[in-house]
Amino acid sequence: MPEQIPMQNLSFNQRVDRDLNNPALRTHFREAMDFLMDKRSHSFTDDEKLQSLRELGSSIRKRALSKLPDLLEQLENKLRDNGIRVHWAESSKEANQIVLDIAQHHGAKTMIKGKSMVSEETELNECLEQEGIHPVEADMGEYILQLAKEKPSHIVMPAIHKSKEDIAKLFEQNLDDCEYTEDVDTLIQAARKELRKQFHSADIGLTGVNFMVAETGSLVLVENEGNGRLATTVPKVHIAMTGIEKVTEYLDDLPPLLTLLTNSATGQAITTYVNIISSPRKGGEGGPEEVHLVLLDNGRTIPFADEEMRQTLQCIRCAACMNHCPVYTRLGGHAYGATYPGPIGSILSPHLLGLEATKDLPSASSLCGACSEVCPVKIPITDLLRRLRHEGVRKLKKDEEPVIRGHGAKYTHTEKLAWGSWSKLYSSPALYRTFAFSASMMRGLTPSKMKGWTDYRTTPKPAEKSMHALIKQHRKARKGEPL
Amino acid sequence: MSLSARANILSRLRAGLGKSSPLTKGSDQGSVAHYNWSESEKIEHFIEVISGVKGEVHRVSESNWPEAVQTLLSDRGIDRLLVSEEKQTGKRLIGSTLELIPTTGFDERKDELFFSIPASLTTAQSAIAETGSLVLWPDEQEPRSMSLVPPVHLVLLRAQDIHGTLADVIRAEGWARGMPTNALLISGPSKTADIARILAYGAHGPKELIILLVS
Repeated sequence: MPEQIPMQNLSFNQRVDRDLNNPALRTHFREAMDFLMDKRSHSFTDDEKLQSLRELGSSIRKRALSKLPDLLEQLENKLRDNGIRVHWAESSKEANQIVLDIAQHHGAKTMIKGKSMVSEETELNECLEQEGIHPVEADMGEYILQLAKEKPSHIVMPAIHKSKEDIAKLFEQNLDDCEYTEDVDTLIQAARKELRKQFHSADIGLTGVNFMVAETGSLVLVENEGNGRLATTVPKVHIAMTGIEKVTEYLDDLPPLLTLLTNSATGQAITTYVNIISSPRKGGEGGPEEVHLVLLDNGRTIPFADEEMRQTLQCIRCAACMNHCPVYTRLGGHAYGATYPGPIGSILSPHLLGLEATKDLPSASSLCGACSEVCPVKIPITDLLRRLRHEGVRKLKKDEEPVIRGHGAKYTHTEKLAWGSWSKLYSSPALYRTFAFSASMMRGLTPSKMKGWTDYRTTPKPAEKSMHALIKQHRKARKGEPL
Repeated sequence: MSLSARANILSRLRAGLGKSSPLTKGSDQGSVAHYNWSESEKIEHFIEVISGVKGEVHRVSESNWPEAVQTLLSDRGIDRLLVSEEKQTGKRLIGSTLELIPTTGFDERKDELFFSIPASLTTAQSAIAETGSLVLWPDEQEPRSMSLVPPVHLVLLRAQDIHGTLADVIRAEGWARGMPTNALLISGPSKTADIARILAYGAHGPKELIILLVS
């Protein structure tokens, strides 16, 4: 695979060009997405039941969001009663500082991490390293990426863009006593052995959270490997990091959401481990002496304020939308240039990063609707993509408050002028005919190269006679004949 | 910083909701799947699902399970077992050929736990037929790393404790009234498909999960 140029140095179009012209990457994603789509469709065999479950999942998430501030307070009280400390962060920077303060308070040198996309969002590792704390990613996919110094390209299977051969080379170069092998069992055992040492000695365990239950004050972690369980069991301190939207009201809300999450993500009826944490250790039962929860806003309150865009926050991060997206399948995750790629990323990232930095994402979709169709909590992703496209080019009315940072980032006078003229032309028959007539007359002047268009297509030369002219001619010829 | 962050986030959320009224559980649409399984169907379903993800199930009786534990371990060349000395699991194994490693003072023995214990035996509080899951509530006698760190994990499960779904377990055992420090659902041995989507067992947790189903 060619050297990956740091994505922040490339524009969206350059990244798209780079990745579309990488046949190995494209084959890899095609196969991986086919695999994941197949797994999902084999696990949801009864469509009627699936639709009813999605309806319930959507209701549960909508209900939670309809009382989010109250639920967060209830959750905080419950967690505090249970002995878990709750921290609130408005930005990535604040969240990282909270984690850093806890780590420094304990004199921590190492941190073992279970998978956490929120810590990717806040770029926690970079922050810790600057302060001399060594983070070790323990999810196998994240571990591979840490060795390769790369970012996740998928939110459930972060190293899905790496081939077996890439990983074999990485392990050979970075792990003690690991010879080059393409045997996956051997590779996993080599990583297990290395990471066991890290789990044994790490000062702090940091993980994400899949669901929080306000009723009981519980943090729910879903995984197959056991890295999340180890990170929340072995070190003396556990820090969980998550977005403010991940709360559910009742414990009864958990089973349907779990079913939707694991079946949609990997086609599993359930993951190997569902780890429900409700307090720090009490006596000899094991587990950390301290548990902290960092609740992150980082722009989530922006879509929350708009009833339509609030639906973005229903997401349970299953990645089914990216697995089924024809654009994601062709581009892979890195081209999007944001922590969350694919359709969900294209409707979430503009809120987290502002539309200025993400203005191309809402357009990176064919609006085919596959994402909305598979979303387990029925987020109308295509409607939200269109809404963001609109917000990106719309001029604010007088006294109107923008609903998103970077509102109007895609607005250009040229485009406004072009659509303005188009609309005039197509709503006035006289103007339209004059235009069509002159286009036919001047067809000889059509340039042979038209940037963007003629790269892949022939020149759109106007016909010798317009459709209107042909119809007129036809009618004239048949004049007098009965209809 | 954190106090103002809390107030700012909550006030932005409250402003965001405006005058809209909160939704109630009564207005939820849709439903989950329901099963009308008999006791024996629950058992069959549980065995089928957990076997599908490489959980090894052995049907045993109240009288012969200690013998089965010994046989299963000696087949694997294992002669030491981490087991609670206070629970029935440990008590019933006294006098066996196995060297029993007690769980008391477990915290002081992290090196031993990580690098030299070959197998553990815990009890399961209950199980779930729909997803083939064991329910464990670790306690002082059976700390939570017991079902996680040793490479082979044996679990004693009573057939009458198998429920239909997770929702059934939550209701039957009254979870909403108070959760333990850590509640676990375990469905198979640890696994990963993070390398080229190829399934490999024994990622970070046990490589083998052996269930002794007592009926």
